[in-house]
Amino acid sequence: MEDSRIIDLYFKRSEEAVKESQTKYGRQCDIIAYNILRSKEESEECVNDTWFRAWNSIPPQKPNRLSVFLGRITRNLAIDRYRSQRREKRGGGEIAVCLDELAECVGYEETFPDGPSLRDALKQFLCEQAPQAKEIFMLRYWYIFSVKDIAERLKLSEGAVKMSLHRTRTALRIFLENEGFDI
Amino acid sequence: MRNNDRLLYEIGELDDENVPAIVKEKKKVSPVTWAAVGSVAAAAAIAGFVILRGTGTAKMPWEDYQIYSPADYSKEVIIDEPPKIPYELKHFIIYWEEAYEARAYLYTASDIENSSVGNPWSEETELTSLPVFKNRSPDTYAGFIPAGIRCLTEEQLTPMLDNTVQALGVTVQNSGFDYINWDTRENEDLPVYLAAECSGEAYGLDMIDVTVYADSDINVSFLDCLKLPDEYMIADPDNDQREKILSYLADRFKNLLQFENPVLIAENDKYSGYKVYNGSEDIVESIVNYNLANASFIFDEEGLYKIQLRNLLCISDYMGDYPVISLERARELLLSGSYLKSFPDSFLKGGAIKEEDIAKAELIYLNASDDEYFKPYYRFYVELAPPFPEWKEDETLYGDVYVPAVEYKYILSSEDEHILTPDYSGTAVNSYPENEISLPDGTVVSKTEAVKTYTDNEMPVLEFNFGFLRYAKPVFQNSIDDPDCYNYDTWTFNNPVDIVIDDPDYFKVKAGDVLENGMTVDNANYKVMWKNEEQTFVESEVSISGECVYEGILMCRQGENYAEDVYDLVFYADPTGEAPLPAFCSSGDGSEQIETWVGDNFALMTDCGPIFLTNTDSYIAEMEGYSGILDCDRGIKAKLTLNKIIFTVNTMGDFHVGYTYAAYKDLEIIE
Repeated sequence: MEDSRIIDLYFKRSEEAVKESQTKYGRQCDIIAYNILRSKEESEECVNDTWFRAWNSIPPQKPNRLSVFLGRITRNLAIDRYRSQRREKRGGGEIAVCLDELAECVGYEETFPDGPSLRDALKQFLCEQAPQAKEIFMLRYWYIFSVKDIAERLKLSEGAVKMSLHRTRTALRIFLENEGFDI
Repeated sequence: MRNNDRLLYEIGELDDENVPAIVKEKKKVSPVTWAAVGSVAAAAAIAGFVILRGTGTAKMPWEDYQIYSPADYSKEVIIDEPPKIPYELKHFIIYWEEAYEARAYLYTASDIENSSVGNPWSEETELTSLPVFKNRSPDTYAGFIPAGIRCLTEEQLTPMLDNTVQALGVTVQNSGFDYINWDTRENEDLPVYLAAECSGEAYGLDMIDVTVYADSDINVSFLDCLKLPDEYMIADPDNDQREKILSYLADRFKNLLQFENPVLIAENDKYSGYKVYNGSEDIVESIVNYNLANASFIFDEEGLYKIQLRNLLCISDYMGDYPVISLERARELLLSGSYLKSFPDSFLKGGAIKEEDIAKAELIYLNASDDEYFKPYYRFYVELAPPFPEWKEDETLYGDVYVPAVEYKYILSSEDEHILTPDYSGTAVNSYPENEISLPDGTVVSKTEAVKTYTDNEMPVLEFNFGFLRYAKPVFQNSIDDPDCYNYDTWTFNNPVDIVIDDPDYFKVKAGDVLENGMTVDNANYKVMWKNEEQTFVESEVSISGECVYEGILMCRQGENYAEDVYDLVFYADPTGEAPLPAFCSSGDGSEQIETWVGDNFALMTDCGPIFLTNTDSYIAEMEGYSGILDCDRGIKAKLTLNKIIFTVNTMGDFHVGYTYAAYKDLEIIE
């Protein structure tokens, strides 16, 4: 079913909206949640929460891209759940590696100011990246795909993916420093 | 929150367009939705293509190893933005030494009448898109390696033969693979075909040959010819009789063909005019099967000689449904000079195609197994006037001319002549961020309408339609054509007209003149560099200064020699702007000498189309600064402020060469 029709079902408060969302984007949300949590049970809970959140968000929100809207809900829920677990025990998994990688770029300190400046800077930075480098970066840090998954998905070697991520993170650090961020 | 956590969070909150799809959604690339054009087109987009369905007890020849199994065909194939595809007729480019050679590649009126008989497409067919398929194994090495060589393997060909043999009801007596037999490397183990000699008892013959090819073709050869029942053995059948013969053959060999809805095509050829394909209510499926998955029966004097089955979809990958242009639009492009053909311009009546020369139009897929892509074209037959004397008494001849059916935005640049090729200003217009361009008089035109092509001496040259490419008047005398014309050559060998340096009209401007673009002429003079009894070498110069702002498009163009990672930043001034850019006229072949001169910022070079921004020291840094915004197909709006331009011409006798140097004060990206 097309996204516009699914969103229409949300607006009409028809339960078919959730059913259609699950059919079309359930798998994507599963992937996102599992990439972060690495637990089938926890991923399922996360994805179930996604439909609940979506139901409560649409309306008034009217997403441009339903896949990203739902994916973002799942991602945030999963990351929150991961952080909550991390307070209780040391965890591993892909998300931990991603955070360590990003720390190579921006550190573990708390020096970034609140507000939209970091997001704006990120947006500008990504705009200037080559399309494939940008895609690899987003697959890694938005979807939390492993390097191996990204390589398979884009038909690249793992080495090429690692190199691309390294270069992009390096470029991002330089960019943020030039923009005045304290790293 | 820690920086890395914060960064992870902000990445998640980026705008949707930054997030790549992982479960790819099919984008509606056409402005008209599927539903609006009717269920037929929608069905084509969704259902995929079922090529051959089994009906009899024998398995269809491709069932076990069809690259796409029937189940795959029934699934929705979801493609992101379809990639661009090249359109070229490289294997059509043939040069003839003798008239009789050329004759073989042209068409008579009878040929045209027979052409595309049975084509499910007609001029009334409305289509919004058609599928394109990438051949997994196009011909390579200029034909030295047969097509299909890298496609179907031994493991796939073996059951293909088995099923064919079973469908025919014959038994194999001996069989074997044929491989390429030269010393080319990795392909040595791949078969060209698997051939079998079979007992022909079931057909009253000694032997039948069955060959299955690695490009999916299947040939069944009746070496002693299969005689049909008497009522079908007609020496010179008419149309009705050919249809009856074909109907008999399609029924007799239905286990082999396995077409649910066989569409019979009886052409006006008693030997090879018997074709069948699997018809469908879905017009797109019918078109695809007609062109790419069909069967032929071939006769000789003694009877049925061969059955040929072809299914190019078995060796290709579905690229996507590409929006197509209408027949009317294709005709417009044809008449404006945007087409592909295989014969010289000299064959055309009056050197150009006119409406009245067009005899027939049809939509086809070119289906040579060595084509890189199986993609749709509009084929036009145009009346010719071949220059060979012996043809004056012959019947009218026609040539085939092709216009890509896929919308231009999905076509890769092509080096072939006549194709609507982005080049110089055409590139700029086609890369313009908006789809429409407003002319100075308020008229709004689409990008594709703003660029036309014409040829002169078979060299592609772009010109803008509507005359909206305006150059300032030349600063030097035009010594070739009318001095008042706007363009003139800067690189002309053996110019028959000598430059007369003392001619008071040599310079069209003088110091103090204000040009159309608002800049002022600083000086216009010449200097004799050296002189001898035979030659005078003169350097002439016109320099102008002031400020002039040009809006246009900034983009990349691959550098010389197409060296990897070497790109130029180029700026194309908007030709509809208020201030026409003074420039020389280019001959179009890029042969002008262009030199750099480091001015206030970056040196500019101009050859009448793009302005190259370069600096011998730091253009690489500038490129990196703009990376991600620009590529060779996409531009960004920008504003360039020029503050000095110097035109020079060096002359020596009948030889002259011109250069343009300039400097800019500011380059601003317009968001």
